Amino acid sequence: MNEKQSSLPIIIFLISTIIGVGIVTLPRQTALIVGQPNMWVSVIFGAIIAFLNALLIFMLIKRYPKQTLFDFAPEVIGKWIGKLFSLVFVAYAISISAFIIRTMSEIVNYYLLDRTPKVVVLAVLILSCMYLVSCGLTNIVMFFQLYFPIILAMFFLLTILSIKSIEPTNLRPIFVNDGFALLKGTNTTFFSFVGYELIMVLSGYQSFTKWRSMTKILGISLGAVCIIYVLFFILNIGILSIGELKVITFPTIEMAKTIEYQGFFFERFELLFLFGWIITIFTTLTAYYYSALLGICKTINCKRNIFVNIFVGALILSLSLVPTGITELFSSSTYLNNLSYAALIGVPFILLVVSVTKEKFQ
Amino acid sequence: MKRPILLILLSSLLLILSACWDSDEIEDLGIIMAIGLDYVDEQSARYSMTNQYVVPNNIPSTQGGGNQGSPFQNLTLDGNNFFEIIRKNSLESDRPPNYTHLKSMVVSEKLIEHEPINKIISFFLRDHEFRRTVPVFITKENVATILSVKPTKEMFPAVQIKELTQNIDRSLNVQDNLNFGDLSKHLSDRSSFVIPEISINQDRIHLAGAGIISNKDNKIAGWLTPEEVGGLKWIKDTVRGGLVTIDPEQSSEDQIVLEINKSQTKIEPVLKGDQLSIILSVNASLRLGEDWNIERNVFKPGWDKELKKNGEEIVKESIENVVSLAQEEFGLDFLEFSTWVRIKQPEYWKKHEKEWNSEFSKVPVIVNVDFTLTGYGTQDIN
Repeated sequence: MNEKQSSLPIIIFLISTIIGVGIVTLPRQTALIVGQPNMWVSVIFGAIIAFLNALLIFMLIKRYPKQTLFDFAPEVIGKWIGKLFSLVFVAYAISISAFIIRTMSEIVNYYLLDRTPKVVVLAVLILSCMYLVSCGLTNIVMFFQLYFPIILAMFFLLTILSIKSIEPTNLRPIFVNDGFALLKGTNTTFFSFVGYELIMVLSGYQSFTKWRSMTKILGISLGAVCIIYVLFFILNIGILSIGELKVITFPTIEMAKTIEYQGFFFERFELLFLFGWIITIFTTLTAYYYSALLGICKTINCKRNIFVNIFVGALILSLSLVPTGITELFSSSTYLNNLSYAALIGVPFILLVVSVTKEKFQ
Repeated sequence: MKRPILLILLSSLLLILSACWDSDEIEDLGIIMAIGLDYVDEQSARYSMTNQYVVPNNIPSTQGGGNQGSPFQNLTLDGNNFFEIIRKNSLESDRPPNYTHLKSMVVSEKLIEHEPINKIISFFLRDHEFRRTVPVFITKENVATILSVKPTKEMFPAVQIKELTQNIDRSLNVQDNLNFGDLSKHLSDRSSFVIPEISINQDRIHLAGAGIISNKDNKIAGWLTPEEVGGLKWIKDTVRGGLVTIDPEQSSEDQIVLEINKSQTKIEPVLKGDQLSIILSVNASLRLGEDWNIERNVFKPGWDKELKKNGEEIVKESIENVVSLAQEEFGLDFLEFSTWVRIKQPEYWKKHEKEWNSEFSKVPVIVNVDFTLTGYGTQDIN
């Protein structure tokens, strides 16, 4: 491994992980709760809270350089509770993977392949992910760096092409607002920033000990995602309007569908956008898949091998097939949110408190 | 030795892998250019739907030859809902209809009289094949007839209908297309709006006025003439060109035509106590286009004073006419004043959003029109 610790791969890893289904479904969820034209402010609030949470996690992993959550949790809090904590995190990683790929398969079924069974779409994604994960973290990070420019280019292209159809009246009024509603929206927007918690897993690959470099990494990655989200919110509100956002299932794709340049290659741009977006889903899935795999291996003390790999893949696949329809899928995100609270805030906070008190008493 | 065998094995994999579950050959698709919806009200079926198929063989190619028949074919079928009618097409056409390249949609007056437009349109918004950019038109004619009018410049009536509104910068009476997305936006904002109307004039497709859709029942509430569409365009700030004609009856002089260069309309809702009033100010710059008063000397300063005044008066009248239509005759805010009240007076809007229709009729509207005459052309005959 490279001795010179560069922060760029980590930043790319985090950005690729964080951007996922949120970019397509978040505008509708936020519109339902906030419902005012300046709801993109909620996104910024969400990013700030995510940043604070990430710093909390950093304070924990700083104490155990070159160790992952699954390594130091048993050390801090005792073998069995530590393993339990690891498993909570694994459960979280597996359910979030299942949720995002199910959402993706719904979208693929709506817009691209309406006769291909969902299982096939899901299995193709999981199988390719299985292969990438079996190659180890170094290759995953490399893969992310390879596709990162494509993802960014796709977002950039979509922005450029749709910016002319923005209707400014949809975005106004900007300053007259209900602050309480914006804060309520934060609860939703916060979850579209999850992904930064994987520094607890990345800490086994690269040691994070310096405040300065870490705040830089977290600030840049969360800041970049925040900018992309705010941009997409403004595009969505400006093109579709708040009233429409509440009723459109996948707003960003419908927004891409309003792009029309006649007789030109971009007449059906949303398909092109979908191809780029599926890569972001794949990167997110890979990151969580790897974390779940590593978590299980460390918990039951075995080497990463093909059997555990298949087990994780099968688990994600079967879990993703549980919701019967799209309404049930969206309502299941409530459970997922509770699990996220546990894995993102609960586990690191308890570990940090225990670790600090232990040190004090010794 | 092993290598070639492995290569052969690997390449034979391509034979079983290269498959797409959902592939459709483009030759087998029935591309639909336009759909027309009508109301039939018979025992067996209530609605009819006309699908305009492309007949690829009859499209005249650049090499010439082989263009005897019409490049499109209309299939009109009856049924009780639109999805069923679409699937009924399979009984007559071997090509499954594909709507991703739909160019326009025509709805008959009769249908919107009987059924609310949100119910009519809901299928087309739900299905993913329909794009949000498809323009919608309303017609008093029979939909099947209007879709079979032989187009003059374009190959398909569908395209001709859609492109008519391209002249938005040429005439005051042409308004912008209302597409699925706008329609759905109006429906979810619960606001009244207008749909461009098309009709048949001497066997040609003709852009007429507009139909007003009420936000109370989402049905047709009334019609605007092409002249009233002009007034509406001034209000909605969509004037991008066109002419203002000063008739001899309106002034002491012979007729004068002014051409609009640029125009901007500002709508300012003002709240005094609890009384809302709306100030609508139009700022336009125009050019003298045609002058039947040969004696006028445009090199003398002040030549434009009279013209300016008369022109402003005409536009003001046409705006006030549409405002009074909206407020008094229909009691519907299809002028999009609600948008500006929401933006500029959010507190008032929150309080009165529910009863906006009745509030709207009571709001006094002050119209200010200000013209600037910028030029008179290349020559002035005296």
